[in-house]
Amino acid sequence: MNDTQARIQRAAFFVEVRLRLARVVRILPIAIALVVLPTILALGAHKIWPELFTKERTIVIFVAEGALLGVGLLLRLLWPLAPKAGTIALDRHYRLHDRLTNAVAFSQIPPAQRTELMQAAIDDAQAHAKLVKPRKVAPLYTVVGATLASPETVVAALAIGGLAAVALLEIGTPREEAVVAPPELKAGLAMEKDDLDLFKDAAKALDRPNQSPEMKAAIERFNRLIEDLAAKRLDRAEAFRQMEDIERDLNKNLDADQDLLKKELNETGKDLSQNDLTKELAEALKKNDLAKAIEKMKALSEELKRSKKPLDKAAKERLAAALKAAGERRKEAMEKLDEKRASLKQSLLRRESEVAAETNPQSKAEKQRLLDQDKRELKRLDDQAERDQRIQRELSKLDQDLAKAAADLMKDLDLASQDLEQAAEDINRMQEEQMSDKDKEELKQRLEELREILRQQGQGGKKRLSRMKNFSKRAHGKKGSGKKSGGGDLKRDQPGQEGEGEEGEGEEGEGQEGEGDQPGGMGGLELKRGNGSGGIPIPGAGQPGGNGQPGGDQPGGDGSEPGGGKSWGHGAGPKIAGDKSTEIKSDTTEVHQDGFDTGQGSSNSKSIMVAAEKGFQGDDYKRVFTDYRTRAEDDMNQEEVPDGYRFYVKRYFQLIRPRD
Amino acid sequence: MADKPKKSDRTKAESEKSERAKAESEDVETSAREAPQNFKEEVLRFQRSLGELREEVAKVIVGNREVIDGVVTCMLAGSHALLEGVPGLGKTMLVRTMADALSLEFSRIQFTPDMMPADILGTTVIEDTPNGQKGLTFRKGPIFANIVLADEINRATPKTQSALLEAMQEQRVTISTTTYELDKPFFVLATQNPLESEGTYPLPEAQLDRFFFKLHVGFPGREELHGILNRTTGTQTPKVERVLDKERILGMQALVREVPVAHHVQDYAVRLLQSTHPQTSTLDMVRRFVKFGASPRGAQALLLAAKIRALFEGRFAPGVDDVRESALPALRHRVLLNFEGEAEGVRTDDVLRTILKGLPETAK
Repeated sequence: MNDTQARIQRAAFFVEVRLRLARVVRILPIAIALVVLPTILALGAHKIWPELFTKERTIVIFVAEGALLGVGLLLRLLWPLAPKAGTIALDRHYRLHDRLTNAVAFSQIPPAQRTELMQAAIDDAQAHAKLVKPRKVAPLYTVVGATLASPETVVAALAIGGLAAVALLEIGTPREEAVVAPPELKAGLAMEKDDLDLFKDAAKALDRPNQSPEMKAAIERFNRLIEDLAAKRLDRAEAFRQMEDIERDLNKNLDADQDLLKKELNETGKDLSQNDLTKELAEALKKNDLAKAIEKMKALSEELKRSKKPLDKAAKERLAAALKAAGERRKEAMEKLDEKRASLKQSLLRRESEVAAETNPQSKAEKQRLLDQDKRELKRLDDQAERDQRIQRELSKLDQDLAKAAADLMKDLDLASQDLEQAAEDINRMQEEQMSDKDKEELKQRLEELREILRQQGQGGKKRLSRMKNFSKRAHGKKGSGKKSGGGDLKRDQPGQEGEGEEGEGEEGEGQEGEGDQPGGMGGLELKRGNGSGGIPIPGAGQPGGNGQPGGDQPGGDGSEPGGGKSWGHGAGPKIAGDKSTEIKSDTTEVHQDGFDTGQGSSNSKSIMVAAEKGFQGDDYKRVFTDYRTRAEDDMNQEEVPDGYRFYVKRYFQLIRPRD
Repeated sequence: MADKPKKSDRTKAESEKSERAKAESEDVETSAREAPQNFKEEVLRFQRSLGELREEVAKVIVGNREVIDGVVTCMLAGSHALLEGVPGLGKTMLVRTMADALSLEFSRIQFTPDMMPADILGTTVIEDTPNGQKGLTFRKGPIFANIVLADEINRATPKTQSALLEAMQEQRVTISTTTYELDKPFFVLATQNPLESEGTYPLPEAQLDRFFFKLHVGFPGREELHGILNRTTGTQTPKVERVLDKERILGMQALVREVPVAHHVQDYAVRLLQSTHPQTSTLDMVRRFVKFGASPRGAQALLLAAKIRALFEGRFAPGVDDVRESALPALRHRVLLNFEGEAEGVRTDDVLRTILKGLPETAK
């Protein structure tokens, strides 16, 4: 083989290599698509059924498909081409009409066997072989370009895109939604009508004509709050916010004014204590015992009017001086305070201008600090002045009357006596205002109760509301649902309450109110121990002889319940009535005796029994209820009862209060 | 691999006759072969001669380049051509012009239904001998020419057709007991009119197979018509010069036989032939519409035509393209359609094109 023939062979070889590569490039898109599609399925299956198509299995599938692709491409690369594909491709490209192919074929014949035309064909091919270039015959870039533009490439691109999409796809596993306790009573906070009526009645009781404007406004706001709750216009957050606002306003001036008033009266008392005639009055004022102060003031007035021993001039002068001192002292103090405030305001203005004019940053900062300090001081003085003005308004009439009495004392004792009468009226008014403060306290207490009810209602949820509704019906003497609702929740019930949290260390469920059709119940209502051991032995009820003794002595038992110390049964309603029916541990014989009407009304036990059956109604029940509640309040006042328990006791009596 | 002339199968009697005729022709061929020592130059000369022939023919015949080349191919292959076309397309003119350019004796036979074989082959007549006696003298018929135009061969009776076809095949005429060799080169150009079907005797398939090419003479285009009119309706008649002679033609025919054929080209011709057979073809079209595929004569025609085509272009060996280009004229009359194919209006050309489209150039 000469050089030219070798050249032809070599060119043919290169062409064949390129043809193989081109063959691989052509099928690459469709091969990729065929491999990617199962991959998509595998990946999607892995995401949808991770248990079945585990990560390892999916990886195995990937690897297998990749290997398959590689093998396929390798086979395609190595798969034999058509015979003489290289030379034919060269002949076709350069339009040589098989010159090169024939030359290669003839070259394989031994020269001795070649004809002259064969040799001529070989020579002819050699002449043309010099011009051939294998790269032009099978340009890969052309093949690549054609492949990229082919529909198969689009399919492959879509397949790859699909694979990417599946890979990025996050199939949301059905997460268990975090169990978020429903905000319970959202917009449209629901309250039991019975409770709403309770608070309405409380507000009505507080609303008196002689209430202070602040108190009237607070009561009005409270009434609006109750109405909104009744109409379910408020959600939980709004209800609490409004309660907080009301309470804040009530507390705004209450404590400070009370303290200041006491202080001022104390000062007044000090002024009056200098005189023997007013000494007792002064003591009463010092102790803030306004009732006694009124009494002493009237006594002084009466004495001045009807005293058989008229006062001498010196005595008059001393008394006048004391009265005058008491009347004018506050005025001087107010004047001093106003002077101080005015001076401070001027200083403030001066400092402001200095700060504005100052250029040195350090000096300016220092002056600004002083300015801020003065501002704070001014605010304090303003607040003090405001309080003083309020107190001044409170005490101004008293001061005027005392001062007038001091002046009239030297002229006419009757006039002075009338002035002192008027001063007594002033003190009486203050006493009434103190009562107004008590009303504020009362209103605050109601707010606290409402807050607590809502809080516990939120914890109990709709079940509690349902039980309350049922209880309310029965309390009014109507038949309830009859269901033993919340029976399973009895253990959560609290003494005297229905299903309200757990407090104390008592046995669970003690002192609860079971509901349901139980023999002897209120159409299903019965007072029942939570421990299921039977109904609460109504104080005096069911006891031998129907003694009707109130079980009020039993609340709390001997104090030896778990938790120690005296307590209200540790959340045990039954504790109120005692662990069990009163047993008279003595040699007694049970005697049954029918009661007879003494005209004094039914016995306590009977009233309670009737109430249990027919609702908390009737005069007899009211009487019994009042009796028990009074005792309970007295005991709470005397005993060291934790505030939390106080609420539950109060709540208990609220729930069993007489209904109209 | 070099293509060697193959010996056709003949009967023993015929073989003896053919041996004698062959010896005579071989002498001519040998002389032709021995003369040019440089085949490269011979090929160039071949190409040049062909070009001259084309030029001369083109003086008279407008267009029909493919037909002319086909006719020349048939002649150089030592075979015959069948022209099919409507009357008036210049088929006779073409043959006559070629005969003039080739310095060959030309005769035209207009076939009619009443024509007898003797009208073609010749007849024996009684003539006076020089010694005054009566003797039988064979008067040669029109077939005794180098180029014979057999017009409307399908109008002749099968008997007459067979007389012509036998002479075409044997290149000799046997009258009584005397065999008359036909002068070489002997080339028959038969024509068929595709329009008229009444009163015609379509050539049987076996007879069609003897024609090397079947060429379709198409209707000339506009420009060609203008050329025809310019040349035939004027006063001037183009004169055809003689560019080739008998010896030269024989030499060219010998050269054709010398052209080597690579195996892959021959293999392509073989696979092409096999593809025309419904039994071996993988094409549904062939299996459905073809009744009979081409005979081995078709492969012979393919190769010879490819060689001649290569020589036409100055190449020393044919390629697959040459075979491909020769497929239609060489095989269209050798592939027979079945009834379904004819009913469907399928043409053999369509079948062959389908085959060519899907046939790979090389195969294992």
